[in-house]
Amino acid sequence: MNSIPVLHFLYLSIILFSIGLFGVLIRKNAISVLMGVELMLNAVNINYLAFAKYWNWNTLTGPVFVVFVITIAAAEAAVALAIIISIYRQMKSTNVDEVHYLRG
Amino acid sequence: MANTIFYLIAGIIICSAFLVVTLRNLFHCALFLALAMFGVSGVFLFLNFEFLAIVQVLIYVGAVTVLIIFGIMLTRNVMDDKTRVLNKQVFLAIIAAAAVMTISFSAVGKSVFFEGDHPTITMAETSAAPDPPKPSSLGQNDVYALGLELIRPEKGYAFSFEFVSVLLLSALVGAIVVARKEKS
Amino acid sequence: MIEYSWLIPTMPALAYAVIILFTRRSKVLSGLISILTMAACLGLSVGILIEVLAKAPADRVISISWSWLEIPPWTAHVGVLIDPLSVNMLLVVTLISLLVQIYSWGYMHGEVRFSSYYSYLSLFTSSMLLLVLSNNFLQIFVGWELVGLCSYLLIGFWYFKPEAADACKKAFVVNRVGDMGFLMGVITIGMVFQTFDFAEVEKMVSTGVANGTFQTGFIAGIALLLFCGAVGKSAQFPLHVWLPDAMEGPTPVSALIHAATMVAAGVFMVARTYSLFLVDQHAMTVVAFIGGFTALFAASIALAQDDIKRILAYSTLSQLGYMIMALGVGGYTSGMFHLTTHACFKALLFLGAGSVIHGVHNQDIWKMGGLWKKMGITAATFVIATLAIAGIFPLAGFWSKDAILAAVYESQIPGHIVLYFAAVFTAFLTAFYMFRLFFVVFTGEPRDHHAHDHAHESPFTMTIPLMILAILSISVGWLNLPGFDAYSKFVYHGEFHEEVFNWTMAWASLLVAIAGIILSALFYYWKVFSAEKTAETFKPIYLLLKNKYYVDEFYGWMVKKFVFGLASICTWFDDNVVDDGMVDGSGWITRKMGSLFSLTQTGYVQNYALVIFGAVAVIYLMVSF
Repeated sequence: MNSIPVLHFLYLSIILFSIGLFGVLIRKNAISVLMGVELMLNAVNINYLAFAKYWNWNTLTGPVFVVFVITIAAAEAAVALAIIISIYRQMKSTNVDEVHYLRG
Repeated sequence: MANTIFYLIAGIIICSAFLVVTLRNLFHCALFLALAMFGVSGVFLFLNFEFLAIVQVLIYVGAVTVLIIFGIMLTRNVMDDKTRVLNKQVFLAIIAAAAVMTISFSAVGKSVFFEGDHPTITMAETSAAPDPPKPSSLGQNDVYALGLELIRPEKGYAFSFEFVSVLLLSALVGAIVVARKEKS
Repeated sequence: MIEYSWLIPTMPALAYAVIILFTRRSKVLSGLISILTMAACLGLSVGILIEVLAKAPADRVISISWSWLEIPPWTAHVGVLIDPLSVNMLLVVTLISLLVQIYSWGYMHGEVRFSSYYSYLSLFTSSMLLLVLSNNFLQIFVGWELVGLCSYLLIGFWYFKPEAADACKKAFVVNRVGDMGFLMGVITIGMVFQTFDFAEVEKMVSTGVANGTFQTGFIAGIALLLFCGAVGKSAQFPLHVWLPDAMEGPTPVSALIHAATMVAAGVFMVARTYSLFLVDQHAMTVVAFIGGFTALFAASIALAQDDIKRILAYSTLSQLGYMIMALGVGGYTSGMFHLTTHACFKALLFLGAGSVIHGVHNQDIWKMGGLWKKMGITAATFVIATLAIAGIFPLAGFWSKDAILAAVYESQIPGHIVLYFAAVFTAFLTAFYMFRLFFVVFTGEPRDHHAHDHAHESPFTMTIPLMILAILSISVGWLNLPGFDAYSKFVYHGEFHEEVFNWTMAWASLLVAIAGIILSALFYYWKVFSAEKTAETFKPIYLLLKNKYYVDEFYGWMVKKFVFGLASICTWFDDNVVDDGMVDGSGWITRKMGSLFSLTQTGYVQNYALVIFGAVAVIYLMVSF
């Protein structure tokens, strides 16, 4: 019995995504939020590859997208950290809920 | 055995992910994030995408996590124990996240993809893959195919590939510009 | 010639454009362009007259149309309608315009805005000719409003005088009241007949009335709506108040627009749409009585006025009343004939008055006197015109006025005997006040020596038109000499029928006119009776006449009471409901809604994320169940 139902990969992906979402929603610190986002992106990657493995045998769309997601995640992390550092210089804090200049 | 390893990895991923979002100490968070990333690359291995697993380790563990740790160190006062780590919408966030998880589970369960026999993943070394018409296009030798897919001009992702490189360049420049200390 | 008739209104319009755009700086050039254009128009008109006269009476109606714009089911045409009526008007308008423009050369000498004056005159003539030549209701309305505009511009030509500025506004506003009715009439015609063409409407009315499609009362309603326009433009009671005030404009303008041509547009329009009026006798009766009343009413006011131009203005009102009355009693030919003769002698009177004003720089007749010796030509032509308007044999007024009196006497409308006596009494009054004017201004001793010494005969550009008009005032009436009847064989409505000149009636009215002249002479020439004492004796009546029956005061009071009252209600409504309620209210609601919805803009990014994912969950639930 060495085969794993593909659903279990998807369940893992869902749980990981939800945890990442939870982190994005609750953490005050911007860097923690960023980490949550990274978790969500990884969940998506798992999903892509699980589907790529079991459907659409003749295309490489899933892996290609994973490559793009990883690339963009790296770029996003760099820009996000730059923004966080910039905010920190301004406000001596990295708390997301203190940055609310756009309050109506 | 292999199944046990998969579920072990899955458990590690979920636990460390949960710790990432709940621990007070940001530095510990970052370390558990690295652990979760490792786990994910393990899952990639289970799926026979060795190249992507290595890329995952290199980029996430090697670059992003390090970048995040740099970020944490540059914003030192986050270690202050007196400040609250969580914001005021924890309760609502639990509901929302649980709702998203629930509906995702139910959606996956109801999906047309899974009608009939549920397919399964078989580990690489005992591979008897369900029925790969072109086994060489995936798995260990897929790097060549992937590279071709990315840059093949006629029917591939060449444009997206170039576009992403522009994006990376602009992210590089943008990050420098944003984080630069302005002289005033 | 007829195929070139479209040039007649076009050329003065071009002259207007050329003067306004290019030759403003040169007075001589501007004036010459205007006058030469007018001469060309007169020449064309004469050519058209000759050509029309050469045709058989049945072929004398020529209508040419060009489609202007189409809005199904309507088509707006622009066209020319040549028939005896329009040819008659063409000649009157172009001839008087030409003479007045020549006269203006002397009268407006030294005026700074000389070129503008001539451009306005050209524009006016163009609009008037457009109106006259029109073959449909839309075009006549366009011309109608354009002449109204020119009248406004020319009354207010000296806009720096407050009286002139007020007068032109008054003329415009009062005309608007009548034009409202006219416009409603035109719209009704468009709705009912789906066409604006005179001939087609006429045909549809006659067949529709014959087979019972249209009730006569309905057609009469349309006719009376159109007549509202005529009441405004031809200054009939109760919309007569603007015309006396219009005398603030330059005197040649008064002669051209407010005596000879534009004010006759109302009469012309009634004549043009005559078949609508003929359908119902009640409409005719209304027209006749409004005309008759205006004739008597205005003549009585003229008895007690002191301003030379105002006397002539009331006289114009009175004579226009005659024409309207003539049309109302069915005297189509006599009404139009009187229009033609009146244009000649009233233009002459106004130009003569202008000459006097030019000489003495005053308009009050009590500051003139004894001008006969100083201004021979003016006085001689003036007396000819006065005799003509009084209806003395054998001058023009005699023939046309007696035709009207005969038409009134022989008409079938109820109360025509009352109208007849009113008309005869008006003739008496006309003779009286016109000779009062003449005696006071030209005979006796000078009252104001300074003005008298200053007085001089006008230059020949002014006196030549006077002499031409004097000849016309004498001779135009001869067109309709009994037995000759050139005019009534030319201009008539429907079937031609011989009209026998009623000599008894003519001699009766001649006697009445002579009685008026003699009475006037007794008061103002021989001074057997004292005018002052008579005025003193009948002081209430004198004051009533002097103050023009207080119609202006009544309108003023009415405006103050009703219009201002209504306006204050509207103001209250505007201030409280529209302004505070709706305008401020919508602002208030917007602001409150904004501040309400801005509560959702917390600025916390995680709130937004929460809402997004909550919404995803909710949408999923909505879609799946």
